[in-house]
Amino acid sequence: MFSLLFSINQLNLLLYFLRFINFFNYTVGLEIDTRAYFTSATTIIAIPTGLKVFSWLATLWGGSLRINTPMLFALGFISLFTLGGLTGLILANAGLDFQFHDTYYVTGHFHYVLSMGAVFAIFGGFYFWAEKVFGLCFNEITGKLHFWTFFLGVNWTFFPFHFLGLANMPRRIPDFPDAYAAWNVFCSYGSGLTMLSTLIFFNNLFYLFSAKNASANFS
Amino acid sequence: MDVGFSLCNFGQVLKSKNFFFDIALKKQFLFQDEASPQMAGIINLHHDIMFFLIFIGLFVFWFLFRIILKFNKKQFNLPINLTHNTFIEIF
Repeated sequence: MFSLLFSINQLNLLLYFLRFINFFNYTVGLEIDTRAYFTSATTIIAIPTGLKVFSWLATLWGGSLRINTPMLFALGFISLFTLGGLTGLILANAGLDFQFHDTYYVTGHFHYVLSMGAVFAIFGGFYFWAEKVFGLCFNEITGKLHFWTFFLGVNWTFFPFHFLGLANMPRRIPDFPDAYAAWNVFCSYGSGLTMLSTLIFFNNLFYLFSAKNASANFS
Repeated sequence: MDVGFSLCNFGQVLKSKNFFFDIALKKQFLFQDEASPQMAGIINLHHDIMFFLIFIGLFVFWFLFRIILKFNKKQFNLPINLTHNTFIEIF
C-alpha cells in the first residue's frame, strides 16, 4: 500500500509540479540539451507508473478473485493502461517524437491511457458501488456483455490508430489521403461496436433503476 | 532502400516488384520508407525500443493471465493469509 501511495505522490510531483510529460512540445525548437533533459525526465515517469501496475498485480496475486463485472473492468483497466503506458515510453523519446509529433500515434496513446484506462476504471467503480449506493441490482449477464463488447470495441477502434500514426497520418486535420482510409473505416466499425456496448450499458441502467429488482438487503 | 523496412508493407511488396514506396499505403502497419538517414535512424531507434517494450508487455500480460487463471474463486477458494507489506517496503 505504501508503495502505491509513494508512486501516486511521485507521479503527482512529476506530472503536475514539474510538468514532465513533454512529448506534446518536443518540436517547438528546443535545443538538444533541453530535449535530452526532457527525454530523461519524461521517461522517469515510467518508474512510478510501472510500480503502480506491479502493485495492482501483486495485490491480485494470492487472492480469490470473483470474476464478475467490476473485476472484469478492473482487469481490463490494468491491461489497457499498460498498453498505453508502453506507447508512452516511445513518445517520451524526443528523437522518436520528431516523427510521431501530432500524428495518430499520440491519439492512440492517450486514448489507451485515458479513454480506456479512466473510463474502464469509472465503469468498474460504477458497477462495484451502484448496488451499494442505490440498493438495486444490475443484470450481471448484461454487465459482462457490456464489458466484452466495450473491450473489443475500444481496442478495435483505437489500436489501428498506432498504425495510422506510424504511417504519418496527422492529427487535427479534417481530411486525409486515401491511403489512410482503410484503417479509418476499420476504426469506424469499432466505434460502432463501442456505441452498441454503450446502449447495453444504458439498458443495464434501466434494469438497475426499475423498481422490481431491489436487492435483498435494500432497506 | 532496405528490403527489411519495405516488409512493413509486405502485402504490397508481394504484389509489386517496386520496393521504393515513399508514400503511405493502404492498410500499412509500420513506417513509410525513409528518404533520409535521419529517418532511418528514427526507425532503427523505434525498433530497438520496441524490442524491450514487447518483452515488458509480454511479462505483464503473462503475469495478468496467470493471476486470472490461478487465483480465481473456482480454482483458489481460500486467499493466502499472508501480510508481507512492511517487509517488502523496507527491503
